[in-house]
Amino acid sequence: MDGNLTAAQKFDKKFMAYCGDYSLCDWKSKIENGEVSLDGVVCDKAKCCAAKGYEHCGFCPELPCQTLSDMYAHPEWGDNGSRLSNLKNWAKGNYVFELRN
Amino acid sequence: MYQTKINEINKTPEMLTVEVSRGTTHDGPGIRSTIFAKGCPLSCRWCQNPESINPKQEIWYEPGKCAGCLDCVEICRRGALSPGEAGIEIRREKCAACAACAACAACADICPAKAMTPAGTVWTVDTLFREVMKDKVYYDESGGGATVSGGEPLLHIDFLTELFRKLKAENIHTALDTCGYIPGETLMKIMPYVDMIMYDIKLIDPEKHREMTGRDNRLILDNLKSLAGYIRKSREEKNRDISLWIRTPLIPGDTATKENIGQIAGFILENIPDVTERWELCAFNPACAAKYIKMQKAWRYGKTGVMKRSDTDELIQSALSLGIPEDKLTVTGLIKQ
Repeated sequence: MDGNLTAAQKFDKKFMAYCGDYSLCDWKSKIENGEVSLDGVVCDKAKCCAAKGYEHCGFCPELPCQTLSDMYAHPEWGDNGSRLSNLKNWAKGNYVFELRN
Repeated sequence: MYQTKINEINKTPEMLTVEVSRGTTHDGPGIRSTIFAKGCPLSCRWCQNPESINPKQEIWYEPGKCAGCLDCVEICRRGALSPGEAGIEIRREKCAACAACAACAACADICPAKAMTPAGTVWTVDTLFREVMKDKVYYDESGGGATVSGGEPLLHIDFLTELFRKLKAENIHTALDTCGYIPGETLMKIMPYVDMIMYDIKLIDPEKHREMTGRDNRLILDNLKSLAGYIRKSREEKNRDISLWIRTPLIPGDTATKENIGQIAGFILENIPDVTERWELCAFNPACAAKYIKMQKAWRYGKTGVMKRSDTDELIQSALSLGIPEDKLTVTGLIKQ
């Protein structure tokens, strides 16, 4: 069954961004590789999540916080709930994803 | 990582460039290397380097190279790509996750035909310094050196100050090409390491400036006056001469008007006549239209032709009649009749 899935359809944990985006997060990889200190991180979502020690924002009791809510509802970056849905699924161990709507 | 990276050796601060051109001859004296930084506070509607406006990574797409394999559509984790009538359509608002995020460039990494490529390249100070130093022999023989341009290079002030400090330690001539829309203290921070500065005055009318570049010009003109003061002080106190070239893009119907050129001439004569080594009128050329196609952006000047000598005669006479010395005024970018 898995052999019929395209590369984009196969779930890969390395694409779990802090904010629920299913993509390669440059900030996450830099933080995890020690290439940047949290003081030097520009992305406020990445900084907040990494400082709390979460793998992604799905584990945060404040989900969805104001910062994420603003981003999800942003006229340019908004997604009609797909990233919030991803975070909730990932926190439950349900490794599926919705692309941004 | 998918992105083109040249920073694997060092974990020092990075700068994104759209191009590092070796062997250039138009951005200062002699043979030079010109570094085009990515990111600009202005959005000039005639911009010749549209890929340099956004400070983040972006994707070029060249339909003519596309083999139609759709590997990019499949690999895109953000759902930003789809097949369209003219090749791949990029929804750039989805290409990044948010304002703090850049294009991941996975599509460029997988594209077998190189139809998708990252517009920016990441450098550290050390890797860029080594790149520039490759042509030291040419700089020495021609009186050339390194120029940083953009975009607006001073958005990367810490990076560039360190780069220029290292270049000056090797006695390399350094030139800065700036739009001037930066905090005054930022400009002053790098000046101890700058031998030459090219400074844009595009328009004097603040309303037109805002309309055509997206920003007011008060900060730009104020910074230029402060810069002139710094140059005078350097001459008097340190016997150090810093070249100042004023640059004005000649855009038909917008900046290339007798009124605007006359106003700029008046500003130069009133405020900076003693420190201006050259006033360069840069004639419009639509050669960058291909860049807008690669960025999938509309460009209002796509059908505007190149400027000829006869198009600039009246403007030159206007500047000269106001008192600009003939040996300080030059026009670049013209084609022969």
